[in-house]
Amino acid sequence: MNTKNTKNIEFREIKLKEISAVSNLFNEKWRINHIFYRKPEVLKWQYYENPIRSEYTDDMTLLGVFIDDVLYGVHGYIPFIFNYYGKKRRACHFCNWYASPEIRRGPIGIRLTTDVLDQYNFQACFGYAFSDFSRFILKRIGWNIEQAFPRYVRITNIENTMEMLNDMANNKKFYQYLKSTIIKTSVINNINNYLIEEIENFNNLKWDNFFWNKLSKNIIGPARDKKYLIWRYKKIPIFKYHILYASNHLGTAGLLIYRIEEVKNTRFKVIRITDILATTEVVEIFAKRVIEIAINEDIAFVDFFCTLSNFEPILQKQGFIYSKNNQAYPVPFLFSPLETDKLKMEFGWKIFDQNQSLLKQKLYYTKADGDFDRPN
Amino acid sequence: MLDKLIKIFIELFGLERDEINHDLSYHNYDQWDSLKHLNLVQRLEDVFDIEIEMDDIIAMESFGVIIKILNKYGVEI
Repeated sequence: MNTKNTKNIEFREIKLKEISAVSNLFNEKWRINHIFYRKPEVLKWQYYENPIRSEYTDDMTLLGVFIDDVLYGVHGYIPFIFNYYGKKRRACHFCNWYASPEIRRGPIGIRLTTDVLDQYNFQACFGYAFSDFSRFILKRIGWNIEQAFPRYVRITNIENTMEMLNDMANNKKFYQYLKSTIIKTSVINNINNYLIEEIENFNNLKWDNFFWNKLSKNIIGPARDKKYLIWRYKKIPIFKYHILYASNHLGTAGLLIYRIEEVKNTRFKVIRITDILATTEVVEIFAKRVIEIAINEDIAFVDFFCTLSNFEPILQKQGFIYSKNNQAYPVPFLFSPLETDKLKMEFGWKIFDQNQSLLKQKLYYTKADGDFDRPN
Repeated sequence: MLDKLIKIFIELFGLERDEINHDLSYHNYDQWDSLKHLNLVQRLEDVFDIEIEMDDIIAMESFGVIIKILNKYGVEI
């Protein structure tokens, strides 16, 4: 490896016209053939088309490390409106933190993070904490590190799950465990009070009123207003998300968003729920509906990475198991290709100047946020 | 105190004593990578019983600069 002289290093935001340099850096140096980041259109969506990007920069929300105008490292941040019990705050997700080996000298990697934090007064930050290095830095700047992103899992086809994991023949104990999680789901009495339908987009929904008046006051986390949902789920140039919409005689009662993911080079599929935004009784109705869809589609299992433990007693009634407190559920989460030895995602977060443990109980943060929802 | 600092560099980077001087820097010494930098911070904190602020961690670019930063924390070298 030829190390670079780092004396004349420059840290600056990356311009939209430099986007191909970013995708080349990912594809050639970091994660060859990564499904997302070799594609400029995904980078543009993530770091330029963000609904509040222009409040922060004219360029991309992506800090670059340059030497002689050649890009050697990046640190992305996705700013968003942070719902703090119904009040609007400013926050960001950290993503794609990378320094090419030629410039991994001294504190260069650290500077990528601290420059972003110093520049903007974010009141909350979240990010993937995938390496010892990133965990060390994030802890050092006062973040909480979670060893495993909390995850709800509902097995919907034991045989498919076992076969997918290549465990059918040699792990009876695991089979029995999965079988024990399949329960007779409870009857929902008020199910007929609600209409659940799949909708194509958010355009005709009077959503913001419902979100800010009915949901936002009991939780904290990225604000799921209409602008955010459209950007997150409809403008994304990869993945098709399904939107289930619940309503009753009063109007909107909630949304559930999921996508179906194929396990690469196999016949197996899983359902990834990425958002459940609904009043308590509708959460269970949604869960039941998704399980019906999964069974009809021969899906191996349904999962939902979500920090909010308030869903636990509700989803449990429909057979979901909640892995929390840093314990991972024993089925993988990366499927392109299937990585059976990876069972958990580490992540870090910080909400500034508040009681962290108290806030954690009310935090609604899901796989839809930041760059967590990715297949490899 | 200087001896303690030199010992940290010898143990961490595998250097000979006469290779360590004020100009030794991550800009001119390839082995001083990001992880080593973090290890160096931890060792300095343990040995000198101090807590180094993030701005100083970033500013620690050479052996000479580290001496000045340690002085700020009351470590006289």
